[in-house]
Amino acid sequence: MKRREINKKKLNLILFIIVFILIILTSFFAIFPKVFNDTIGVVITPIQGFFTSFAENTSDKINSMKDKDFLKKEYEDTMILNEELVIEINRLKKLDEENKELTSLLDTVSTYPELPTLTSKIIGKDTSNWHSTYIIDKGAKDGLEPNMIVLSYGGLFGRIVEVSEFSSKVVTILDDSASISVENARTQELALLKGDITLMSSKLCKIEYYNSDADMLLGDEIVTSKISSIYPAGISVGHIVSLEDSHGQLTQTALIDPVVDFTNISTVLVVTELFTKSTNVTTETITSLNDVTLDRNAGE
Amino acid sequence: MRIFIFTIIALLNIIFQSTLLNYLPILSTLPNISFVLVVVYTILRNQEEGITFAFFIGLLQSIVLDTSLGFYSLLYMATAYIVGMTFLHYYKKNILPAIIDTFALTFFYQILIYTLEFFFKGNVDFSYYFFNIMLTEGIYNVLVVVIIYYPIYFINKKLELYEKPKRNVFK
Repeated sequence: MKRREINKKKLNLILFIIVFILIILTSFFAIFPKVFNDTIGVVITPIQGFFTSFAENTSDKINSMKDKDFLKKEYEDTMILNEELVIEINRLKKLDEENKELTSLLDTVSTYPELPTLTSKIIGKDTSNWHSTYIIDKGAKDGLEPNMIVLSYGGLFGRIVEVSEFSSKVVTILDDSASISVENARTQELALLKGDITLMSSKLCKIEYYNSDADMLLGDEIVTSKISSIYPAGISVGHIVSLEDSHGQLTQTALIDPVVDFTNISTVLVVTELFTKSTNVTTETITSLNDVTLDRNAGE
Repeated sequence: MRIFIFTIIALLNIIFQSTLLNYLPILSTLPNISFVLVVVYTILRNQEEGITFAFFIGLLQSIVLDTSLGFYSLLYMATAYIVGMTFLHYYKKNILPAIIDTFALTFFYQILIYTLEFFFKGNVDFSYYFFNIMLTEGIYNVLVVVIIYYPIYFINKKLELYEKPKRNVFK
């Protein structure tokens, strides 16, 4: 009896040591062993998919019974809107062609590239109340990689942080760790989007303008900026819904309402192309910059 | 047999927690069933087995939901360690120790998460996190304990009866 108890205590000690090693390996050196995820994913991913679709169907049925009249009216409105949009699209197609011609004349690369996307279903969500992480049902076998971006309803949803064979984890723009370079579509002033845990339950996020006297108005559209290292430029993020008094502060803050409806989401689009730019400044640019400053000094 | 059944329970719990539970928020807060399972299992068995169970369920949760391994294991193992030292001489049929432990230790592990992950990032408004996340989750976890304590209690009782002939008391 005594021998068995000592053995159990030893086992616990060994487990504590294993945990510390795992924490050090995975958090400080960012090595996440894919093996674990792949083996457990084989069992869990299909069951998760089944349960989520079941829950969705049930809640859909309940909701459709609730607001049948509303849906009918909405359908009619959508049909009218659809016709208007078709006309608009035809006009834009012509503009696009014209734009392509002009760009080819100018010999520059388009800043707003067409994005190759892959539809994916959400099969799970982190329930820890501290994070906003989703699990989607596409993984490395569909060609996904970390740092690919995820869209939904034409707006920015988040980015992939971890990929296993059959599923991937997506951190949304609401998560406290999110921090994205964005700009005001109207004035093109740069800002920093930050997820905030205090705003996570109300599905809003916060932006910080670097400039304390930046020009911003309620309803301004916020898009991803051209200097972002992960996100392609020009993806809509949200609209300003409230401005905070920034008297005596170095930066201005505003609350934005994301385009993506986070309360009611089941499918997302993964952009299957990496936009990661190298941030290394080449020696050439440094020397050219030096030349410019030298010239200026000489001029003065 | 015990290992098999509790592995199934842990797997089912993780699947339930990552899918269906998202449809049942109260004040946009969700309970942590894995944590409640660790508390209940430790009370029904003992500290050593509780810590082992906590290690594996924490690892499972990290693999499925988190982006690094071992953090939840450590939190749950610390929880099991503390639960194992409290209420040693109570009847297992009494649900009160489980309720008190769950409510008190929810704050313990939430405050650990807060200090280790969020405090040093500059989120210093502790009262907000206390009232909006920790308190609501504590109350919701107590609700979960009330629902799952007796099913786990009966499974454990059946398993103990099954293991009784194999156990050698004079070893």
